[in-house]
Amino acid sequence: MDALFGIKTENETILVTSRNFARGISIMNHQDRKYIMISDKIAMGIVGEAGDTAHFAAYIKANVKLYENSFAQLPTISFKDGEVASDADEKNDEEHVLSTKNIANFVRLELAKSLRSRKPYQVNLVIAGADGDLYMIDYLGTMVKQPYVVQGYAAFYAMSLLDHHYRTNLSEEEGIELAKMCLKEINLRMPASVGDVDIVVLSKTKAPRQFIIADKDLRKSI
Amino acid sequence: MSGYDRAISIFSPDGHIFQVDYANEAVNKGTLTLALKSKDCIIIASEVRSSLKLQATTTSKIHRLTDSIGMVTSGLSADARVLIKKAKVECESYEYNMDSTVTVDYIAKFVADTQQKYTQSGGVRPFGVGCLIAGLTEDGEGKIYKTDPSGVYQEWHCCSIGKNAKTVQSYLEKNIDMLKENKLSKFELLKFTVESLLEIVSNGSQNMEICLIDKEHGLNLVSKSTIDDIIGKIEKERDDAEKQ
Repeated sequence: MDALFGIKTENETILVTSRNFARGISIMNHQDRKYIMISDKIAMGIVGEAGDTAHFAAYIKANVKLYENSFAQLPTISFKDGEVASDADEKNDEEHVLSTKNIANFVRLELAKSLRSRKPYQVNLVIAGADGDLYMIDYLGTMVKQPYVVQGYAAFYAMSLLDHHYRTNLSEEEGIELAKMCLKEINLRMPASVGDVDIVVLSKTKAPRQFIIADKDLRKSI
Repeated sequence: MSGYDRAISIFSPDGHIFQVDYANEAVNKGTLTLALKSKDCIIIASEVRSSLKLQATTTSKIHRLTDSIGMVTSGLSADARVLIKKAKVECESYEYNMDSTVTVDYIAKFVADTQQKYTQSGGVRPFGVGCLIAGLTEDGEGKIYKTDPSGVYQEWHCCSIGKNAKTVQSYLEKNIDMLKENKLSKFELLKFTVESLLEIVSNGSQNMEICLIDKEHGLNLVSKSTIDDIIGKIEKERDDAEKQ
């Protein structure tokens, strides 16, 4: 039972993915990573058919990189006393960086194309961006942008909690607490437990933060 | 007109393919570019022709293929753009397929292969482009490759192509023992690059673009102010030498 959801707080976007990899009735791996960082501002959580997820994620990342590299300008450095001294006024070339919206639409298009092929990708995704955009896309190419999104069966339990507790001005800590609350409910109600989870916190101002919440800590804290 | 330059796939009786020769001519008329290496870094540099008064921006001549490989071209810049795009796609595609970054020799061979294809198929003309592809291998060693429109590629210690490349090449040859020792620091190599460029390029930093590749920083353009400082230093040294 994979868990994949995202919550947008006032200044952060939080992505939650479970670390258990199950096949049939057995858990095969407790350290499965179900997200990739497309850039340091955009994370993509992906669940579904085992091989499809890895392949599709790599495909999207490669295409985004190719696009950005074909426009990217080289940064500039200076020398001081014969040593490299990086420039103070480092220009950030934002113009040719793809936004969360751009990437979400590209992913949706690729899934829509794939759906009409002989063997479609069976993957469901959540795309979270530091700019505060949060998208949910399923294998049919359905794309929705919401302040909180949940994929799969977990939605039955997490959605009502999020509907009730969500506010637009949540702080980072409150956002993570809300995620924990959802995980607790999922663990309580679902026939199989979620296990450890990966958390990615993307912030408008700070560097992205990636950490793990262990299942046993989760049970202790609540 | 001898009649043997109407199609690229026709040899002249003395064994030439004229369209390829003409493409080489385009390279020899192109902007001057050069690549040099030392123990822990590579420098690729290019002459930049002054832009027109009303032109908004000048496009960079130096391109990043991966985090440690750069490419610079001489010749028809429109052809170069297409060739660079092909190289970039191949780099990404290699990484996607193999889960490791391309090596300098691989991508140099790929570019040369692409150029060769355009000397042996119908309905196309060769790329009027010569390339210098330079980068660091995994253990930090520098490699410089040169390709030309016929599809030949060779590895060089240091190399220059384009207009007046012969003058610069002979300046590099004069100093080859020093370069082969691989002992120059980044700054010394940079200074030597500017000296080499000054053989041909006038107008100082305005008409130069220099890119430094090293392990820590990847590809970086050297700022105009740094180049101006170095030019000032070189001029002062020359004046002092004359006085003595």
